[in-house]
Amino acid sequence: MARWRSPGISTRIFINLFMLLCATFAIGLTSIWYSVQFNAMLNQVIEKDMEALQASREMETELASQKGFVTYYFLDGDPKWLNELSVHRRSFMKWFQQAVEVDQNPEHRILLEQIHETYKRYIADKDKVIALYQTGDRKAGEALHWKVREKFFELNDICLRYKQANELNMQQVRDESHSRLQRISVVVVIFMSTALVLGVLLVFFMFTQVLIPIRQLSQKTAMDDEINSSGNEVRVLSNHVRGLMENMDRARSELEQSQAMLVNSEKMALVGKLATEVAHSIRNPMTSINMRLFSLKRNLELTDFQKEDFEVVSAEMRRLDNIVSNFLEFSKPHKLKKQQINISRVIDMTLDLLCYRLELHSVSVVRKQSADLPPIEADPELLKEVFVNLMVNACEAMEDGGEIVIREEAAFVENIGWAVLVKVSDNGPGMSEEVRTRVLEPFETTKANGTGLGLFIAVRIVEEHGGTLELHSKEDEGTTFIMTFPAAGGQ
Amino acid sequence: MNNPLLILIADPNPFVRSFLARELSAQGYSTVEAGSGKEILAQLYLKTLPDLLVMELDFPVSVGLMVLEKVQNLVPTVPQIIYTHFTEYENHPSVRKADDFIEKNEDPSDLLHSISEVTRMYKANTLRMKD
Repeated sequence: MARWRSPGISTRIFINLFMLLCATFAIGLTSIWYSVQFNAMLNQVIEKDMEALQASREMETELASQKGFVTYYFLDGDPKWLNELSVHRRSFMKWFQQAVEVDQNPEHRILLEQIHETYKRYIADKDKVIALYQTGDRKAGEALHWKVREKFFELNDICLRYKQANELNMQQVRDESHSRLQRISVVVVIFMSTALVLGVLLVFFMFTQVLIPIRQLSQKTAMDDEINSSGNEVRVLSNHVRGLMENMDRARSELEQSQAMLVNSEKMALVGKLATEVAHSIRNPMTSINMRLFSLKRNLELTDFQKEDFEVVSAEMRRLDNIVSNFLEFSKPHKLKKQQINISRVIDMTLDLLCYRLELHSVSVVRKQSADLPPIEADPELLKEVFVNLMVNACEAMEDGGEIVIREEAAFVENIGWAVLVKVSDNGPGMSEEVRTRVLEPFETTKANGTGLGLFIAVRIVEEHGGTLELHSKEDEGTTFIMTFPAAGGQ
Repeated sequence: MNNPLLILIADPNPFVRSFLARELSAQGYSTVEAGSGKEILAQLYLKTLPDLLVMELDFPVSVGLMVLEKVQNLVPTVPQIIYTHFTEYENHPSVRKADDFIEKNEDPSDLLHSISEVTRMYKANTLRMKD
């Protein structure tokens, strides 16, 4: 059983089909072979034996027809009887010649030889009788006539035997052809039954191994109405398999993407950890320095120059402390403190924060606000960070000053629904294709003192709010960042 | 003050320790210093038991919180003031058990104020217990 199960389904079907074809071919070949043979045999019978049979029959008839003419001649002496006799004699010889020509059977040839000999003598004796009658010697003629009669019966008997031999031959041929036909029938029936069995087996295989599993599979994968509407399980199944393959391709590319993301975020996490440790280590000695400065300031009597120096040192120390504190503040794991906000307010606050820097870079800001902008659920502090990042980037990109356009609008977006869109565009130099693809990755920076984290963090923050950040840029055509945030309550 | 309070200053940075020691001495406290978790525990086990502990959590070898928990188990009667950069630990259970939490900056006046407050409370408690 196990050995029978081992070949694959296609092999089994192929073997079955092959055997079926063989059986069919065998039927055809056998039929052709036998019919050719049968035909040859029939031809032989028709051409030879039939002619011989006919000749033997005709010979008997002609012989019988020769009877009586000499007697009639004896009675009335009319020579027309002799003429008729000679007609039948010629006819007999004609049929005899034909029999000799066509009949090659050795036994028949012996009989024909006997007929020939006996007939020759019979004719010769009969001619003698006729001659005696013609000369008027009726007595001698009559006596010879009786003898000739006996010869006639002897000849007739041989002719009859020859005819019977031919008829027997015909019967044999008929019997032989009949038995051959029967043999053909048996062989054909055997092959046909084999073909039938193989065909049933094939259908059985097709059903149990192919069609039923396909039907079951397609029923599992498809809705009922889908099968009913198309009526073709294989098409339904192939559609589903194609769908599955597409899903798999998509899943694989998504997996690759998320693996790349994971590697990046692991690297990020490690660097973040190291940076935090560094910041902590720096802060301790800085506090120590600050303490000593504090102590100095309390006790020292300084000149104006010394006071200025001291103030600068203290101010720079405070700046350092701020930097480290801000970094540590940022590196702390934060929780989103979401609240319903109007994004315009966040942008207002950002612009307030950045007014000095915008002035420094000679950058003007154009707002394009729309009334009835829906609120969003967001952490305003984090969003401020995003906008600061984007604006600072824009300022630094436009070295000789320029214009930033901030456009706010509500729109229906696929996968998000009702959303608030914020587009921040600058008219700076833009980015090349290569830079654009890399700029949202962590640790990718075009600036000498950049960390390569600003845009990456911005993307992360927007995504934490369930939104997206897209970048559109062309060289010499400026850069546009498009942020999409889901509207609060899905309005 | 005939019997000045002994304060254990625990900080990994020797310059911070010496600064604080100077400031506290100027206020009439006597001080001992510990630069590691090991030194803190050594002081508590083997040497004179301090009246108060001023402690930074940022220790490089033994984690500050672990040391703090050990101290709290070992000498629960010694008041502890956490004096640190690590503001994010303010709500940690062990830190909350401490008597005060002061964010470290250059001006020690917050710390000095806290020390006098904590010692005052302890004195009041001790007096009440004696009564």
